[in-house]
Amino acid sequence: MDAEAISVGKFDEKLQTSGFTNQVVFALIALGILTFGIGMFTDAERTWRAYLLHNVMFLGLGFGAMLFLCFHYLAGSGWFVLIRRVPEAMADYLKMGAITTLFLLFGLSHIYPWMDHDLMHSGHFLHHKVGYFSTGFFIARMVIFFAVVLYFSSKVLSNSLRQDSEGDIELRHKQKPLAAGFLVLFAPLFTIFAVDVIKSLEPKWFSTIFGVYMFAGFIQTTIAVILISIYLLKRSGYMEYVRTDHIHDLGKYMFGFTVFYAYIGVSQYLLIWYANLPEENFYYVNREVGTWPIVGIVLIFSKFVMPFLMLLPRAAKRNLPYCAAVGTLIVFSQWIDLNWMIMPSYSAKGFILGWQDVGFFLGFLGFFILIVRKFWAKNPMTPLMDPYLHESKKHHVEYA
Amino acid sequence: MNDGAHGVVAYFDSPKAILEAAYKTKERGLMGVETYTPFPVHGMNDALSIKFSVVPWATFVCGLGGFSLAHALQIWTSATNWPINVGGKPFISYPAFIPIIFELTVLLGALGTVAFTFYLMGMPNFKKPINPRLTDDRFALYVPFSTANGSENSVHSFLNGLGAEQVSLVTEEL
Repeated sequence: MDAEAISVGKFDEKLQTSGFTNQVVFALIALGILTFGIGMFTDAERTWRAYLLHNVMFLGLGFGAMLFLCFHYLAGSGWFVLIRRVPEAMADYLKMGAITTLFLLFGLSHIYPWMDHDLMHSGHFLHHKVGYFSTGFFIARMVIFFAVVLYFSSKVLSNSLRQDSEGDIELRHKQKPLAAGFLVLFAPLFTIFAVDVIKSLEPKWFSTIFGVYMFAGFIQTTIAVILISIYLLKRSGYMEYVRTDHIHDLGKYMFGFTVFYAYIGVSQYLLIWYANLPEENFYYVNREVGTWPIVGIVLIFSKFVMPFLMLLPRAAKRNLPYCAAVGTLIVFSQWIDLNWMIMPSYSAKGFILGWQDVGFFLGFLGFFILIVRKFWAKNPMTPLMDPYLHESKKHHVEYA
Repeated sequence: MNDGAHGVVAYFDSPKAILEAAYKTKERGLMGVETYTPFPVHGMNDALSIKFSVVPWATFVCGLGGFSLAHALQIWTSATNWPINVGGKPFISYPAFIPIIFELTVLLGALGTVAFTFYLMGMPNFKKPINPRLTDDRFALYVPFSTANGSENSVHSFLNGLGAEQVSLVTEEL
C-alpha cells in the first residue's frame, strides 16, 4: 500500500560533536564574556541594556520550548514525539538562562529607573509603585519564578530521559499533571516576570496585556527556532525520519502564533490609543520620536505581514527549507521587537546598533548552542520508549 | 447487462477495507472512481489521486474582498459621508479600523468558503441517497462504466474480488 506510511531511520542516533565546532562555540562564549568585560569599563549602562536584551531573547526560547512540551503532554499528543528532543534540548537551556538572568541582579542600578529613589517619589503613579519595586521584593520574585520554572522543567526533562532507559509507560502519564501544574503556575508568574524584567524599564507605564505580548513573541520565535534546528539537523543527516507531515504541523503552529502575536500587539496598542490616557500613551509617544517609527513599521511587516503572507499557502508550510527561512525572519523580528521594547527608554533619539549587541548576541548564541548540542550528544534523537512513538512515526491514526 | 446502468457500486464495512480497495482500483488504472463514506477517511486523497482542492483560493479571494470592503465602508462613513470628530483623532484612524477589517475579512472569508464548497459539492441536493447507510456505517466505492475501464463484466468481477460485502449496478442518477 502506502510505502511511506511508517517513518524509518536511525532513531537511537546521537549527535556527533567535532572538536572544531566545540572551539567555535567556546570562541562565541569567550566573545560574549569579553564584550561584558570591555563594556563594563566603557559604558556600563549601554552594556547592561544589551545584556538584558539578548539574555531575554534566548531565555524566551527556553520558556517557549517548555510550554510547547507541556501543552502537548497535557493534550496527550502523539505526533510530536519524533521531534520532541528538539524542544527538550531548548528547555534544557533554562538552567543556564536562570543563571544569566539572576546575574542581572548585579546591574539593577544600571538598568532599572525604579532604583532611582528621587524619580520614584516624583509623581503620584510612581509613588504608589515604590513598595512593589523594592530591590528585596524584586529579587524574591525572580528567585521564586526561576525555582518554579526549573523545578518543572527538570522534572519534565528527567521523566522523558529516564523513559529511554527504563521504558516505563507510567513516566509518560506522569507528565500530564506536571504539565497542567506548570501551565497554571506559569501564566501568572510569567506575567509578573515580564513586568519585572522588561516593563519596569518604564515604571510609570500600565499595560495588563504585557505578559501575554511577551509570551506571544516567545512562542512564535520558539517554533521558528525548532524548525530551523530540524532543518540544520536534517542537513547534517540526522532526523531523516521526520516527515513532511511533522513539518506541516510545525508550520501551522508558526503561522498560527504569528497571527496570535499580531492580535495581542494590536490589542495592546488599540486600547491605549483609544483611551489616550497620559499614564499609558507616553509609551507609544516615546516610540514616535527619531527613527523609532521606522522600527515600528519594520516590526509590523517583518513579524506579522510578511510571515503571514509567506506561510499562507499549504505548500509553504510543508517545505522545510522555506519554513526555516521564514523562521529566520521571525527570529530577526523578535530581536527588533525586543529592541522596540527595551531600547527607547535608553536611546530616545532612535534605534542604535552597537558592538555590544553583536558581542552579546554571539555570546548568548554560544551558550545556547553549547547546551543544546550537549543535550543531543548525550541523549538519543528520539524518545525511544515513548508509548506514542509508533503513532508519531505514522503521523495519523491507523484504521483497524 | 442491465439497460440504463451507468456504473457499479461496491459496499464495504470498514474504512480500512475501502481504503485498500481504492488503492487496488488505482493500481488497475480505473478512471472516474468515487467513494462515499460517512466521515473523511485519511489517505483517500492519495488512493484516488485527488488533486489539492481549489477551495483555499476562494477563501483567499473572499477574505481579500472583506478586507477591501471594510476599508471602503469605514473610510466612506467616517471620513466622507458623515465625518465626526472623536477625541481630536483623524477621520481616517487606522487603529480604530483594524477590528472591523479583521472581522469582515474573517466573516466574508468563512462565508465564501462555505458557499463555494456548497457550489462544488452540488448542494443543496434533494435527491434520495442510493443507500441511507452511507451516512452511518457503510462505505461505498463507485466505478463508472466507460471504454477505459474495460467491459462491464470485468469491472463487476474485479470489485467482487476486492472483498466487498455487496456489489450492485447503479441506475439512479448520482
